[in-house]
Amino acid sequence: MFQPHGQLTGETGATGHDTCAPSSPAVAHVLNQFLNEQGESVARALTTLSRMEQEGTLEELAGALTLLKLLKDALTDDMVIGLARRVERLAAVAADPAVSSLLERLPGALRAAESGTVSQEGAPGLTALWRQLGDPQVRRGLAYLLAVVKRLAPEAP
Amino acid sequence: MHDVVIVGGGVGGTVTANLLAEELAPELAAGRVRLRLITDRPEHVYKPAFLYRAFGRTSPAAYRRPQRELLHPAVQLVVDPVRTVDVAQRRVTCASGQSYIYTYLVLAPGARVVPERTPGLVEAGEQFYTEEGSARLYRRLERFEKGTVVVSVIGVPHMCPVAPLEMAFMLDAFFRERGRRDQVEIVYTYPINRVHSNPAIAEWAAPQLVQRGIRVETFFNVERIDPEQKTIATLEGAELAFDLLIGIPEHAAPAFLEESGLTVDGWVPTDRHTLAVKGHDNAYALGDVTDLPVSKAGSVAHYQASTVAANIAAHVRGLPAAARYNGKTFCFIETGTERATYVEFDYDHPPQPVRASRWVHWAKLAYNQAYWLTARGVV
Amino acid sequence: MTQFVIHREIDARGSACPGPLMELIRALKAAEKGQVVAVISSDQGSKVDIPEWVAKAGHALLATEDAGGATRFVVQKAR
Repeated sequence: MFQPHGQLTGETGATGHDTCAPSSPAVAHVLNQFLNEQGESVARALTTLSRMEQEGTLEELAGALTLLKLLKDALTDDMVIGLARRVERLAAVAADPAVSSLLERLPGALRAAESGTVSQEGAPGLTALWRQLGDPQVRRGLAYLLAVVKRLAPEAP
Repeated sequence: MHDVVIVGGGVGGTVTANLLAEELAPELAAGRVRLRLITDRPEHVYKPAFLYRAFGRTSPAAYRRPQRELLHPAVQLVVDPVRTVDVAQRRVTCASGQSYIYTYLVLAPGARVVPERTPGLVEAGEQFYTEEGSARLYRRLERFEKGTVVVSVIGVPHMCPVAPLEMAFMLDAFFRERGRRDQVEIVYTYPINRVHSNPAIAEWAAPQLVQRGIRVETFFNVERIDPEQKTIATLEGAELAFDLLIGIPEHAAPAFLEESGLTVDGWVPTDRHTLAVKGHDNAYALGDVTDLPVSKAGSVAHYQASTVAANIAAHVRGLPAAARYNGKTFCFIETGTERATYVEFDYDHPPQPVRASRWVHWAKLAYNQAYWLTARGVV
Repeated sequence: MTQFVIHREIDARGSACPGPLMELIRALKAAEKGQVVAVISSDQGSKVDIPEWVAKAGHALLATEDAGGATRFVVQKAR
């Protein structure tokens, strides 16, 4: 069992490298004080760490953290700026109220089209198309599309 | 009107074109700049896939994309092999006879393998530096039951400097997985007295090779190969027998550069920081074609592309070309078929490989797919 | 400076390891038996690599000379 009290002394702390020796009693003192105050939580943390080590989780965690280092090593300032600029543009588009309202209606509209007569029976004849124009909802959809089309192309030079 | 002509449709040329198209969008829209990319083939090929292809782990659909799809719409694509570059007249002439005048030139045509420079290599050796080569090697590996496989680095410098080590590690894993490792001897040879030209990588790799029972021959400079006897003779007077030879052939810049007088000792003399072709302030070179002491690797071309694009954009705007390349290189290293590590280094900092893991192997597999975002200039 | 009939001289100063050694190997490959090749290298590694390779390959290192902060290796193709 982990013993939080009285385990570290100046002498045991100084058995390491000579260069550490002068400061070791001070370090030992600070550690002793810390363990007196925080002993129980340190013991719990070390138990968790020891369990993770036995299960191999610690090793995997270290491996997964390499991915973070890998990203840092592979990226450059230019790449981060470029990526952030793209994310910002995408987010600005997605956050636009008109876009989010369209995105809400879009899946339903696409599903209806996929399961509707067009996909099942092929191209409707001219008469059938003309008949559909009688539907006010179809006319509203067309007006919506035309309004979009009008502004879709870049301004003429 | 500024005419930017980019020669080469690999990672360097494609990323440079896309970065310029984005940076110079206002000038392009106003008709003050024209961007052209000239390449010899309509498809873009992700060459690192060839290593995996040699083990049957990928297919052409995964590593080929139409070049047009990868390029920003503002970039004009010309599919026509370049024949000459006339720097005095600032003109690039293609195989069809069509020529293009440039204000700024970017040379990114890559390197090619020249196995014919080593006697006997074409007849007796396999290699994985071309699409056909790697497909052929895979067929031979699947049938290879027992004997000696030699992975021999013949030409230095070559593309993807860690690929021969990866090939040796992957061969070891491949034969172990098939239960044939005890029937197969793997030998790795290198021209100098360590296993890689980069000391830090050599130091890391040497014990890895030993651990896997891969025999190492250093100071091994191939002079000729005897296809009948299946032996390699070296300049050092050694002889090595093989049943399967995987040679890393000598490399060269495309012939048109030499014929145009743009190479010295085979490569284009390039300023290590500005990437300008030495003696020409309106021409830049990047990627495998330069004479720089950096890896002939895709990551290098990718990092260099942002320097070249920034400098050309500055020229176009009448500003000082202040962007500098610092030698940055990034390479994944597959240490088998399940684990990988990576190295990152530059002119001033040597590489320090991290511990090989499944995670890094997955990062490499993911990057092989995400590469198309790199080519598009997204990341 | 020692006098030899130098068949070919390569200035590999500024070229990083293993550049100078590879230049020497290439030059000796192209040379005839008995011919002498010199290579100048500013890379510290060359001081070890080049003599070691010359011995291994059975050629003769005729001289190792100081060349203004760099080293000049004079090698005779012996085989």
